[in-house]
Amino acid sequence: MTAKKILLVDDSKTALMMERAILEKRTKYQCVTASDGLEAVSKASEEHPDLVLMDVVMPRMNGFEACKKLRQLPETREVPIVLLTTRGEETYMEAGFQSGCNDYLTKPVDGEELVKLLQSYLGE
Amino acid sequence: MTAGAAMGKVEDPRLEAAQKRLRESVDRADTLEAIREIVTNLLGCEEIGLFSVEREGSGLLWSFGIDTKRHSTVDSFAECALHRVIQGELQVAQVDHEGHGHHDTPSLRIFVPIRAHNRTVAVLVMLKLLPQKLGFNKADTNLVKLLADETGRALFERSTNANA
Repeated sequence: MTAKKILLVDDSKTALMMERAILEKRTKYQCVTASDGLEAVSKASEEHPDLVLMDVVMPRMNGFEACKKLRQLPETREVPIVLLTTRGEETYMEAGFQSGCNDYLTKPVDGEELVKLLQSYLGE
Repeated sequence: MTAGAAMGKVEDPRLEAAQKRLRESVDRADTLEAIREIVTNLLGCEEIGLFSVEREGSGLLWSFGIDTKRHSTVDSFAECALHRVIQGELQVAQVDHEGHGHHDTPSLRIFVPIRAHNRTVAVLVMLKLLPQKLGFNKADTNLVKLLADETGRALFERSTNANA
C-alpha cells in the first residue's frame, strides 16, 4: 500500500520543519512542501496529495486564496484542506470555511492534536 | 548542562525543528528571522525584542511587533529583575495587562538571558502570548533554553569567529 501524501504549505521554514518532524516521527505519511499559496496550487496539481495542511498568512498568495483556487481545480476539488494560523478568532475561522477548507487548527501546533486530526481524514 | 548542550539528538519535534533552523541559518538576518519564526510559530508569542546588556547600558538590537518607543531598553520592563537575568536566570513574569487595549486578562512576559563567551550579552524578551496559548509549560521552558543557547552561538559567537 502506498503511503498517504500530505502537502505542507507555510512560508516559515521552522513551521515546515516542525510539521515534517511530527509527521515523520508519528505517522507513515509522506510529506511534500510549498512555501506560499501559489506554489501550493502548482504542487497540488503535480503531486496529487491526499491532504493539504496550509498556513493562512503567506506572501504572493495567502491560504484563503489558495484554498479557493484548489476548490476550483477538478484534480484538487475533493482534497481535504486544513488551514493553520495564529489567529483563532471566530470571524477569521469563518473566512477559512468560506474559502472551502475542511478544518482549522491554530498555532502553536499541538503534535498530538495534529496527528489525530490528519488521521481522521486519512486513517493511520 | 544547558538544554542545547544536552541535545545531540533531540526527540521533541519542536526542539528538533528549532535547533535545525537556527543551526542552518546562513547569516545574522536569517538567524533573526529564525528567532521570529520560532517564537511566533512554536511558542505562540506575538512580540519579541532583543536587547543588548553592556556595562554602558542596554539598547534595542532588534524587535518584532513591540512598541519600540515604549521599550527602547530592557530597563523599561519594570517586572524584569534584570540583575538575575544577567546572572543567567530565565524569568517568566505575570503582568496585569499587556497594555495594548485589547488584552484584559493577565499575561506572561518572558525574559531570556542570551549568553556568549561565558557571559550574558543580551536579553531576549517575549510578550503577548496568543489567546489560545494557555500558560507556559516545561516543554516551552526547554524550547526557550534551546533558543537562548543557539541564539548566543549563532548571533554572537559565530560572527566573532567569522570575523577572526
